Amino acid sequence: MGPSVGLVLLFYFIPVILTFLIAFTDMGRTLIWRFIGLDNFARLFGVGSRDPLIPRILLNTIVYTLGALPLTIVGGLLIAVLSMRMRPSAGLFFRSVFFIPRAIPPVVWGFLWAWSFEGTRYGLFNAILAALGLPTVQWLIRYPMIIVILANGFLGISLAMLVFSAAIATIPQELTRAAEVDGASEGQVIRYVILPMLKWPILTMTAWHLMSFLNSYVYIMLITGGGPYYATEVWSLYAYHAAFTQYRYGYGASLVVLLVVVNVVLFLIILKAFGMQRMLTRGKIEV
Amino acid sequence: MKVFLDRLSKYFGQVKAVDNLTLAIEDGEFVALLGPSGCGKTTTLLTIAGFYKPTAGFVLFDDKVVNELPPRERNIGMVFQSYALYPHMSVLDNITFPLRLKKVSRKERETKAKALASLLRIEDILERKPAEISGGQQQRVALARALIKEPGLLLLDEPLSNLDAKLRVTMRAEIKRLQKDLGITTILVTHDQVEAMTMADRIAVLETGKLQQVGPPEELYNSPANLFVAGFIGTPPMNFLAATLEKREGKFFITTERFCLPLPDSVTMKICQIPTPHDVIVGIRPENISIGQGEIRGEIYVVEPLGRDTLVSLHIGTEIIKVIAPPTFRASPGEQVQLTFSEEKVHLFDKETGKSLLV
Ligand SMILES: Nc1ncnc2c1ncn2[C@@H]1O[C@H](COP(=O)(O)OP(=O)(O)O)[C@@H](O)[C@H]1O
Ligand SMILES: [Mg+2]
Repeated sequence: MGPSVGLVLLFYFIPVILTFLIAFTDMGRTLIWRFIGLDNFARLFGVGSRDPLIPRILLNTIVYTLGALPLTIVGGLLIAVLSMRMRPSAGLFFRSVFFIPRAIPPVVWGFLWAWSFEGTRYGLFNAILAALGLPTVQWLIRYPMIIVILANGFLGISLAMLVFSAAIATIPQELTRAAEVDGASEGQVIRYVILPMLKWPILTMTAWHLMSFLNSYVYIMLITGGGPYYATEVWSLYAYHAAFTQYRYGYGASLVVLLVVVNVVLFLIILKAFGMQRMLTRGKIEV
Repeated sequence: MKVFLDRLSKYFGQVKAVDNLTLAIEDGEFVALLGPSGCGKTTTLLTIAGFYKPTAGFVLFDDKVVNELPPRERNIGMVFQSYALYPHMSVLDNITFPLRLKKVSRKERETKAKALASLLRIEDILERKPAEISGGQQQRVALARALIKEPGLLLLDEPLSNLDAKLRVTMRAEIKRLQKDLGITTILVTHDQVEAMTMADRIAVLETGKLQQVGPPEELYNSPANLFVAGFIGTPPMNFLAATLEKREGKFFITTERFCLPLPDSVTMKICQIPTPHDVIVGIRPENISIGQGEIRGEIYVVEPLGRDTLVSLHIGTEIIKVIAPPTFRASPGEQVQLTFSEEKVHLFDKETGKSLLV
């Protein structure tokens, strides 16, 4: 117990507390700092010397999250349900294909997308267009948001699909057979029996990926770097840029602190709205 | 609805789960598929329901081949062994689900559900979830759900095996009565011969996918076609003794090292074509043996009073047989007794083939 508590303090609580503290300073490249009270937050909320990029970043974050989240959940469900109703071998193959994004290193996944949508004729899709004698497209300039949503959505899909498939595998075969005898078509079996029984996994995955899309920026950084001209700069990436490319540690920390607050609030809302607390405390598995 | 299984086979790779099964079931009849675990009962039922395509042969409903018809179009009701109630729906929603799929109006659905619920005495639990009711109630709900669309055929897979012993006896009678009241063609799958005997109009006995015998309960009990059926039906089971069939001066006898039993004319009539001597297995039910006097000597092994009668195990030579004696019977282990077999109740089976020589 003793040493592990120390480790948790050292690597978990202290950085969190430090971040909170730095958010109230003007720490910069020199690491010399001075408490400036709520100045960083005032800037964020557009009071006094406001940050003109904030509305843009906020909108990007919302569009990105609202794009990638439904893609992940609906896509994951679709693949899980279809693959679990196929012949077992076909289903396994299908699931393996959609698991690839998780199985390869992030850098490779990011590069794959960046290369596929590269604007010169060396990009995959442009090479195809060129081979067909069609004009090439500046994908990453014209559709940057769609591309980062897809890249992250497919990653989300592979986890969601896995979780949903595992949940479907626990549904007793007699239940779906009963539904068929009762007169349900394939679609009705899915709608009336399988989906309702996936309620908890769907809620869990929704909460999980909501947080994940709000907080992670790695793939956006690898594919578009947040550009072109802030078109895909989301909140967490902006915080990263503020802290580690512009060395405005104090301001970056305040961006992160606000994100953490939003996370906590969203988490509480989800708990409340879906009665997930009941699920957590009762440990209830409906079978 | 009439059901006809025509040379039906279902293989899983090398396993012949159902092997060349032919069985005709009349409209309104209650038939039990009886056999030990793994003999292919569930596979037969699932093939009738349409979940499995026959490897060979045909399933006919009212003289029409339905091999290609998916389960939802077969107009069947089914109660699964686990009951398979939808856990996220209330009891009422479970029962009305088949009608909801048929787009029957809510009002009509609920009227029908309430009528069935009162028939099955579950009106008080309609708002609850399946997890909140007892096993016996779950089974009634499963029955109600199977019956609400008024199917032409009701399939029951081991419906009583998850209930406690007392409830099983009650539900046995209730299901039988319900089936007679509704007149719905019913196939019951069970490994419990008492269940099959008490509930069904006819029983089809299966072993390793093959039909052994089909007939009314009394027929299976009184004239089993082979050793398997004879041993499977009846508790305590029939006693078997190896013997030789002999013919002396125009009369048939069965002889063992221990005794020689003349056969009555009723039996002799059926076996007069058989060349003698012939190796046979003699079968005699525990209730067809009486202790007191007779040619056959035995030694008491153990006496088990059951209240209504007394079960006596005794040795004849090295073999153990069981006898049902009157409740007043007393004896101590090791005591020598004399026995009589009711000769007209003796069964004879060919030792080689196991087939009955009397049917
Ligand atoms: N889906 C299946 N795949 C492979 N073998 C099966 C399958 N279902 C049943 N079997 C085999 O077929 C035989 C009959 O099984 P089953 O019909 O379930 O027997 P019962 O219901 O009489 O206990 C068994 O040997 C069983 O192992
Ligand atoms: Mg079975």
